[in-house]
Amino acid sequence: MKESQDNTTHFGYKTVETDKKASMVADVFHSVAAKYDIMNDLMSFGIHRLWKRQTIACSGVRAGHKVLDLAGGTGDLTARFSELVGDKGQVVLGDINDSMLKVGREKLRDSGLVGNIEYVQMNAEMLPFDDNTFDVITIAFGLRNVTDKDKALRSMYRVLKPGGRLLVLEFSKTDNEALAKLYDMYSFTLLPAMGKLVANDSESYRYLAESIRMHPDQETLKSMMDEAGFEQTDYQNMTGGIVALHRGFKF
Amino acid sequence: MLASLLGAVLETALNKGLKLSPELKHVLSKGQHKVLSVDIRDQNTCLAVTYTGINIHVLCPFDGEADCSISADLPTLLELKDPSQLTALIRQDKLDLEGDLALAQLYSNALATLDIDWAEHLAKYVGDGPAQVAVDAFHKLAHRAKQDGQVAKATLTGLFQDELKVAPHPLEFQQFKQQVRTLNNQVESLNQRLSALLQQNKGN
Ligand SMILES: C[S@@+](CC[C@H](N)C(=O)[O-])C[C@H]1O[C@@H](n2cnc3c(N)ncnc32)[C@H](O)[C@@H]1O
Repeated sequence: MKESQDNTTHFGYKTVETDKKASMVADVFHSVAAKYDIMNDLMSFGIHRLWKRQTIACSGVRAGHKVLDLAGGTGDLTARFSELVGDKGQVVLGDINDSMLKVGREKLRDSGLVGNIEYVQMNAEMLPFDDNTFDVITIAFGLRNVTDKDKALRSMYRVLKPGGRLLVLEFSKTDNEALAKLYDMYSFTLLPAMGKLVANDSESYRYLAESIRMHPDQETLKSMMDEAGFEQTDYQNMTGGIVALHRGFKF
Repeated sequence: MLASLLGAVLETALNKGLKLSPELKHVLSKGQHKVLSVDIRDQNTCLAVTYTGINIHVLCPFDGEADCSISADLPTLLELKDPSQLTALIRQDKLDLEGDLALAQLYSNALATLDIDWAEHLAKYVGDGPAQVAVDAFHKLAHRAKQDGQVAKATLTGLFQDELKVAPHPLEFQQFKQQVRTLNNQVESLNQRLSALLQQNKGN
């Protein structure tokens, strides 16, 4: 999201001071962390699992690879990556929010995954790694929460190895009018209501709905990735464009 | 998305088979972390399988590097349940293989040891009745596909459209159905044009 002259940025539909957004986003995820997984299943009717599967299938991940699951939250992608990269590989689960990281760590530990996973608190805008570190970087449903997305994309480009790929899985824009209407109704009425019912927190889920609408559309994000240096960028729409998977390479 | 779903179902089924068969584990462990990609020509789908030592993963739609890539239509691929067929199919030009032949052989062997109750797996997703229908339809389909690839494609899409009420999202399926209808119509009119042409040819 571009900052405007007066140092404000979007927080959902609200305009807030740029340096406040991060902590407001943090509050949202502190508040949803415990119920995050169950809400994910409910909100998407379980389809988020398919979106994530598709992301991994398109990642080109191989045994021995080093993977960064950025904004990885409760670690859905990390879990699968961890198995696929094996003993000689490594997965870093990176998130700005320690509540989400904690839930992720407990979940992965309970499912017996430990050896090759590292949990690191980090801001996507300033990744704490050397240049050319990772073979694959994913950021799933994370980019829209980041204050300075261009800066974050440049940072990802920097730490990606030549030959590596970035995958951005994010809500996007559907060009089907009927679908868009229904989806609006769903996300502004039903979703906060479910949020209230299950997690007793309708505000956070309203933020989620709003932040989705403020997120750049497919073509805009693609050009942002080009701008950051990525090559052969492309995207595929899923579920009628409600979600899009963007991909870019570094050569 | 349909491909992802298919991959998920396949993966669940294979892992169930893996749990039940220590022998399978042993077979697959020789190809641990190696990736076999399978291009299902008549379905325009590429998937990959890999065994991590813990689970079998099915990556679909696959876009990456594989140690061995095979490409054939669905009926041919199903013949790989008989490991002795692999080289024969390559010789007959029915199946293309690039890379590590031993890996393809290994998975063909693995397939032979597997006795998967597909109906049961599908039932988890769709309930018993539709699952059996779907499996029967699939068997019929595999048989028919031999005769007519075009029809097979329509049937497979139709199968998912009608029998598997797994609809990832009802709206998506509505859209999808519309596309299938269009495709069906296109195939139908192509068929008609072909028979007209054939008739003409006979006349001449
Ligand atoms: C909707 S969750 C997605 C979690 C997981 N990737 C998934 O798909 O289930 C978004 C995550 O982004 C994290 N996040 C927000 N801003 C971030 C930033 N600037 N840097 C890193 N992570 C951030 C949040 O803490 C949260 O865990």
